[in-house]
Order: sequence, then structure tokens, then C-alpha cells
Amino acid sequence: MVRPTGAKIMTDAVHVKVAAALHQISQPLIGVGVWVGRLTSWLVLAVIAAVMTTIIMNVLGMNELLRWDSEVFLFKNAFTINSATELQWYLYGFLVLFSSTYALHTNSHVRVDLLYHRFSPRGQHLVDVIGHLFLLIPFCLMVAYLYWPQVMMSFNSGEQSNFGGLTDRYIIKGALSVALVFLALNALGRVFYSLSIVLDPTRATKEPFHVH
Amino acid sequence: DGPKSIDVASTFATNNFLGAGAQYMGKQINVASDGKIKFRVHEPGDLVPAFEVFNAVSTGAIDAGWDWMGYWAGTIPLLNLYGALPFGPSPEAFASWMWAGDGQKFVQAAYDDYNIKVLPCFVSPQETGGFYNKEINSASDFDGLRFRISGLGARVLNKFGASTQLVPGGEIFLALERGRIDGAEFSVPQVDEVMGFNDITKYYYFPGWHQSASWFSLIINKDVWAKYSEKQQQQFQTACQSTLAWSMTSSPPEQMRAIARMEKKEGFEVRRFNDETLTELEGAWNEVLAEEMATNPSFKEAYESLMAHAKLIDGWYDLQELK
Amino acid sequence: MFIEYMLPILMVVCLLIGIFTGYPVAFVLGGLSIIFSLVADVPLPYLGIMGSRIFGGVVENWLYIAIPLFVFMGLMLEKSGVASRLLLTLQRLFGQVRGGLAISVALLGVVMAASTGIVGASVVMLGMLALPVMLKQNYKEEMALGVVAASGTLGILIPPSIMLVLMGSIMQVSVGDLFKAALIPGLMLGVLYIAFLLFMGWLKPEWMPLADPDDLDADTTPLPLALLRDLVGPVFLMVAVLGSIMMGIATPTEAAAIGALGAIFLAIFASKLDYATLRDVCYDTSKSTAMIVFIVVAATAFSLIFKKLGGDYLIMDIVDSIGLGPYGLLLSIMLMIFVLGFFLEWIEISYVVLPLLLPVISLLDFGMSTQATLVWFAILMAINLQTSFLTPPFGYALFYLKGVTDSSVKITTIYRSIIPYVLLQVTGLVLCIVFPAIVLWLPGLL
Ligand code: NA
Ligand code: NA
Repeated sequence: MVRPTGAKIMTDAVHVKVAAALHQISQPLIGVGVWVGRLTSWLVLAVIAAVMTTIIMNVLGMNELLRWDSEVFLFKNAFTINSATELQWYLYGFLVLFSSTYALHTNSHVRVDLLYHRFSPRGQHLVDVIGHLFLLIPFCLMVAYLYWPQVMMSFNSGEQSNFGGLTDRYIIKGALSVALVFLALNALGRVFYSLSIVLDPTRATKEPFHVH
Repeated sequence: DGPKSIDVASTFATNNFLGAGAQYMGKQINVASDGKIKFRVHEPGDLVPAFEVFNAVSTGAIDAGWDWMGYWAGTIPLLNLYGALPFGPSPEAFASWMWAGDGQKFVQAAYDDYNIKVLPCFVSPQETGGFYNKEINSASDFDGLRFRISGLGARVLNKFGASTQLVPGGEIFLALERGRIDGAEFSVPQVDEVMGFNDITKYYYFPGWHQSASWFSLIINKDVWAKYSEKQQQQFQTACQSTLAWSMTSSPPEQMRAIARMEKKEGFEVRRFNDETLTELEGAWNEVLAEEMATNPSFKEAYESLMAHAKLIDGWYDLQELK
Repeated sequence: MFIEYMLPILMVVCLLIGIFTGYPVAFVLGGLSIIFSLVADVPLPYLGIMGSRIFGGVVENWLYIAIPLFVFMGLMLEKSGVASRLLLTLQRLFGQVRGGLAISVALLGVVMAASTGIVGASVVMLGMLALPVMLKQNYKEEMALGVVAASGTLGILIPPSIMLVLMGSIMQVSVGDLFKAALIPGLMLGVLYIAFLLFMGWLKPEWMPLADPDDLDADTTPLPLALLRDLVGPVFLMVAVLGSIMMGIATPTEAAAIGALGAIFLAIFASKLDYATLRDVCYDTSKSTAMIVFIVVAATAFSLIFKKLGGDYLIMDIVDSIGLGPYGLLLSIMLMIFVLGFFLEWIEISYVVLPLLLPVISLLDFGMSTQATLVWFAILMAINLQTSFLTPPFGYALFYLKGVTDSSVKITTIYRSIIPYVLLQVTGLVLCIVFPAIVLWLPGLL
């Protein structure tokens, strides 16, 4: 199948332009994902601090560290040992939920690379495009959407700890849905990015596959 | 007619007495409905993690659940009354209020907001005062004591300076063995026994002042419940009452058998809190109660109704006292 | 039978195809769970359970908090240079013994197993500390990876163990008895690993080379002094983590934070802690944690749908159709659990399969009391489930390990590395079947 040279240059030109546009769209999405992921990465230090607080309060046999009169967000009116304990997994929850997006951009999710590493860069990007569109994005959106009623229920009922720990349980439940939607958006960003390379393979040599 | 088979997510393994209630009720409903209604009882975590059962039933993700009512007190504070009420009435008096008084009315009103039909079908006997590695000779021994307990009972112990903690189920054994906590309250002796706590602690205290009776129930999503005909709904009630009778009659002797087995272990002792300790605990409970009543009107209303009902029963037994 | 089970079979086939395309395993798991629930017309509200399972099983799960903390600790040790100095000295110490380094990893695995029950944490910590040392010494990748993965899983078997606590409550047998019963089999597996390493050191000395003498001579400090100098930090850390558990200061999960904080202090003392180091450690912790935890997130969705489509009954039916005497049945059950372990988590196998098997097991006559039969069976099952951490495609230990190695280590290399250890596990299992005394002697049930 031989095509006239002029037409081939034309289509190539369109491909290249589309690729450039897709690349353009992908950048802010990926940028935000990386930025949020890096920000939540620091939470590991907060987790350490929360656990150490629990340990120290336990060694001292303390139940309450502070008590105040007005009701505040998350802590109601006291900071007890169970506030510290539950704070551990609230913080850990935010850490892991948003880190999955960061790991997406840094290619940290496990791949069985038996065949994959033999594919051309274009082939590797194609695997990701198809996977993100048919596997990752539907999974994230479906779970996030179907879990949302439970988030609302938690919000409306004012669900809180039964051990005198933290209140506002909807925050961490809501984070699950929000983080999954965020992951889906970032996967979409990667679809645009990978498509730009599938369309214009010369980009593969210029652009890194993943962030570090 | 409603669905022939409904999924029931149990919050307890069905091999123990608490979760077995779900299977017992499943058999009863099958008999009562002439085989037209069947439970498929799921182990905790099989469908959803135990603590997510209420939300999952409410949103219709699963048809039904088998629970300890106290688990949902974080969502409905009134449930502290049904789950673990310190210095409350006996299981018999509580059951009377539930089925011949206003007990069901209050709880169903609260569950209406969550699109859930509740059938309180199982009452467990009094729990225990817990496992300890040090003696409790007065309420001041609770000062600085690190103890695993939840709910209103925890707030009573806090009055004496105890550090009441939540330790995840799987870590209690180790935490107790190594002394990360000084004691733990878990369940009735029959259930405590298999946790092996008697191997690593010295004292098993009674009475379980923090929980004189506790309720377990079948919760059904109302959309599912509404599909059943009036006659079928009546069959649920019948099965429920039969399960209640079974729980009340079969469990007390089992507890004594379990305690006897545990006591065989050397260096493990069953004890009672002395009277002064109990008096002090009750005094602190009255403070916690007053605080709870002041901030939680639905709890106050139900509590007053329960205690008025219990008084009638106490009066009757007092009158009939032989010696 | 296969028509009836077409969907679960197809699900496994798609899974295998999906992961071999090289697309991330976690996303294949999650995506297939949605596709198959649509294909099988699973009601939408039922899918709402997925979110609950993820929240309750992963986000609200204290035990997993230890994972980022141990990852953090390992990275901090590495970046602070404490690990690399230890590496050099360990090379000098173990440079003389073939396989000595790997054997010390196995021993460390046993010690960690006896103090915690968290497989993820053990694998991550051993991987962080020992893997770079072994690779630097030119160990064959498979030799280095296998011993870390296998020793790291011992924690689920050697008491204290969450798995045994759960089994005790499902089977209504004393957890204390199970703990005693699991001790000898657990230690026996450790011994089997070490025997294997010694054997390989003799058979294939080039796979576990001695350290290069030139490297060793670079440091002129006398070995005992160098050891003292470089071991002080890491030993301080080990004592802090394990000691705080033993002394009842912290639960195993909390001890991970003590380790993380200790690693920060070591970095400060070594004057290696600056903003850039701290930042990189936090970023890398986040990536590794995500990679480990997201597999669990997606696997919980996958197994929910796999079971809904009858996947668990498929396997039960295969066993039923074999049906033999007590030992025949026991063996086929063990085989079934072994196969299930390729695809499901131990927690689901325990909850789903164990109750179905219990009535059958307690009726089988192996010439011992019912109590003894149950304890024995529980331990056989526990060894089997410990193996499931190692068997691909879903061996969590393998994924944890992948999470802490750099991207040059292929998952297929990791899969290859555990083959001998899976065989050793099976050997251990067979020994416990043939000689029940290994299990029943300590709890006094003979
Ligand atoms: Na362990
Ligand atoms: Na496996």
C-alpha cells in the first residue's frame, strides 16, 4: 500500500500537531498529581509523631493530654490517647490514598515485565493507554461513585469514634472516593501523554516515560 | 413475596456463640417460612469488614447484617444503651422492656433515618470485669491503669484516671502478654476462653459492671424488608423470638463451664471486685450518666423508660422473694 | 462442571493475560473486577461493598501503618550512610563464610518473626537492610531475593501471629495452644532455609561469592573495632524496635515508629540528615507504600467478584470429586489451599474455606483426639497459607520485595527466586503431616 508522499507528510503533520496538543493537555494533570503526591508524602513524619505520642501517653498511663470547652473539628473537646491512636490511621489513610497517584507517575506500581521490557517505547505506551482506559479508570470511578452514599451517610450521621477518639469520620471516608477520582484524572493525564508518544514516536526519545 | 435467600453479613465468626446466633436464626426462619426464606450467613470480612456492616446495609450494598448493637454507637449514640449499659438491668428485665415495653420503639425510630429494619433477636449474658495482671482492690487502682475497653464503661474508668484504649483485636493478646496494656475486657467467658487470655493474665474479675446485658440484632435494609408480605414479616418475628429464647436459655450454663476450664490453668484466678470498688464505680457511672443525659436527649428518654420498666420487674421479684 | 464455572475460570485466565502484558498488576486486578461484575450482571449496590472493603480492610487497618514506617526506617538507614558502612563491615565479617550473609538474613528473619506478625514489615525491613549488602557482594540475584522473601514470611507462622489468632476464633480452639503448636514447625522452616543455603554454598559457590579481598582491605580498622563502630547504630535500632515490643512499651505496629524515629537519630549523629535527604526519604516511602498497599486495595475487589462468581466453590468441587480416605482427603484439602493461595489472600481463605472444611475435618479419624486433630490441621493450614505469601502471581511477600528493590530487579527474577523456598515449605508441610508430633508435642496434645 503506497500512499502519495504529499498526503503522508500531511497526515504526519496532523499527527504531530495532535500529539503536541495531547502533550500540552497532559502536563497540568500530571503536574498536579505529582505535586499532591509529594505533599502527602510528608505525612509519614506526622504518622511517626502520632505514634510516638500514643506510646508516650501509654507509658505515662495518661488518658487525656488536653481538654477544652468549645467543640473543634476532628478532636471535639479533648485530645485523648485514642485521639492520638486514631490520628495515626487518619494520617496514614491520606498518605496511602494519594500516594497511589504519585506512584502512577513515577512508575512504581508492580509490573510483570517478562514481555513488557522487550516492547518498544511506543508499544509500552500503548499498553498503558489501553490499560488506563479499560481497567484503571473504570475501577477508580466505579468504586468512588458507589462508595459515595456511604460517605454522605457518615457525614449526615456525624459518625465518630466509639472510643473517645476522633470525630468527623466522613473526612477519611470521603478521602477514599476523592483520591480514587483524583487517580482516575491523573490516569487520564497519562493517557493523553502516552497517546502523544504513540502518535509521534519521535517524542519517546525526547520525553521521559515517567517522573522520578 | 420477598427474596427467597438473603445475604446476612455477620460481625462475628459463626463458630463462636455470638455469630452462631445468625445461623440459629437462619434455621428458625427457614422452618417458620416453610423453606421459603433462607439466610446465607457470611463470615466477618467475607463480604464487608465487620465495622462496615451497618453502612453497607443502610445503603443497600448488602441485604442484612448480624451485629452487636453497640458497634454503631459512633453513628447512633443511643445504641450505647443497648450495646453496653453500665449498671443496667438484668438480661431478663432488658428483654422484657425490649419485647413487652418500649425498647424496640426507640431503637427502630433511630434506625428509620438509615432505612434499616432492626430485629433485636439475641441477648448475651453479663460480660466480665475483664482480665488483669494486677489486683484491683479499690477504684484508685484504676489510676494510670492501661485497659482495653470501649463505650460508656471506658468513660467511667477515665474518672479514676485509667487510660482506656483501643487495641485492634489481633494485637490484644500480644499487648497483654508483653504488658503494653495492663488489662482488657473482651466478651463473655465462652468467647474469651478461645482467645487464650487466661494463659497470660493473672486475674479474671467479676461482675461485668460495664455491661449487664448486651443486644445483638438482625438488621435488614428496609427496601428488602418491604418486599416481604405481612405474613412473612411475622415469620421473621417468630424466628427472632425463638432465637432470643435460645440465647437466654443456653448461654448461662456455658459460661460457668468455660470459667471452670479456664480456672484449671495454674496462677489464674477468678475474682470479684470488692463492694467498695463497685460502689465507687457506680458513683462514677452516675456522673457519666448525668453528662450523657444532658447532651443526648434520645438516650435520656430511652434510659428513663428502661429503668421504669426494670423497676416493675424488680418490684415483682422483691415481692416474691422467699428469703 | 466447567460450564457452570466458566466465569471464574475466565477471570483467572484474563488475569494471567493481563499481567503478562506488563500493565501494573494492581490495576489489572481492579479493572477485571469491574469488567467481570458487569459481564456477570452483578447488581450495582453489591459493588458498593468494594469501597467498604477497601476502607475497612486497608485504610482503617492499623497493622498496615507499620509498612510506611519500616520503609521509612530502611530508607533513612540507607541514605544516612549507616547501612553502607555496616555493609562494608558485614562483608568483612561474612566474607569468610560461604552463604554466611544469607544465613544471617534467615536468622534475622526468625528473630523478627518472633517479635511481630507483620509479613509486609518484615520483608520490607529485611529487603532494605540486607538486599543491598548481598547484591553488592555479587550474590546471584535469585539467592539474595529468595531468602529475604521467605524469611520475611515466617512472621505469620511463628508466634505471635495474627493468622493464628484468627484461626483460633474461627475453629474455636485456644490461641495459646495454636501458638505453642506453631513454634516448632516455624523454627523448623527456618532451619530448612539455612540448610538449603549451606547446601547451595557448597554446590554453587559462585552464586554466593565471598567478598572481594581488596574491598575488605580498604578499611584498615581491626575487624572487632570496625564491627563495634558500625554495628552500634543498627544494633541500637534492633534493640529499640524489638526491645520496645518485648518490654511492653509498644505494640509491634508502634515499634515501627520507634524504628523510624531511631533511624532519624542515627542519621543526625552521622551528620547525614539535611533537607534533601529527608525529602527524598519521604518521597520514596510514599512510592513504595503506594505500590504495596494498592495491590491489596485491588486484590480485595478482585476476590470479592471472584467469589461472587463462584470461584471458591469451583475449587471445593474439584476436591470433592477426588474424595478419598482421611489422608487422601487431607492431602487434597492441602493441595486445594495451596492452589487457592496463588490467587486469594490468607484472610479470605481462612474465613471462606476453613468454616466449610471444619465439619469434615473434625470427623476424620487420624487416631488422635478431636482437639489434637483441630490444632494439627490448623497448623498444617497455617504453613500452607504462609506459603501463599510466596506463590505467584499474588504472593504479597513478592510484591513487598519488589516495592523495595530498584527497578532493575525484575518481578520474574523474584518469582524464580522463591521456587526453592516454596519446595522447602512443602517439605516442611509434609514433615508435619507424617510426624504430627512436631506440631502436637509442645502444646501437650500427643
Ligand atoms: Na510472628
Ligand atoms: Na500466592
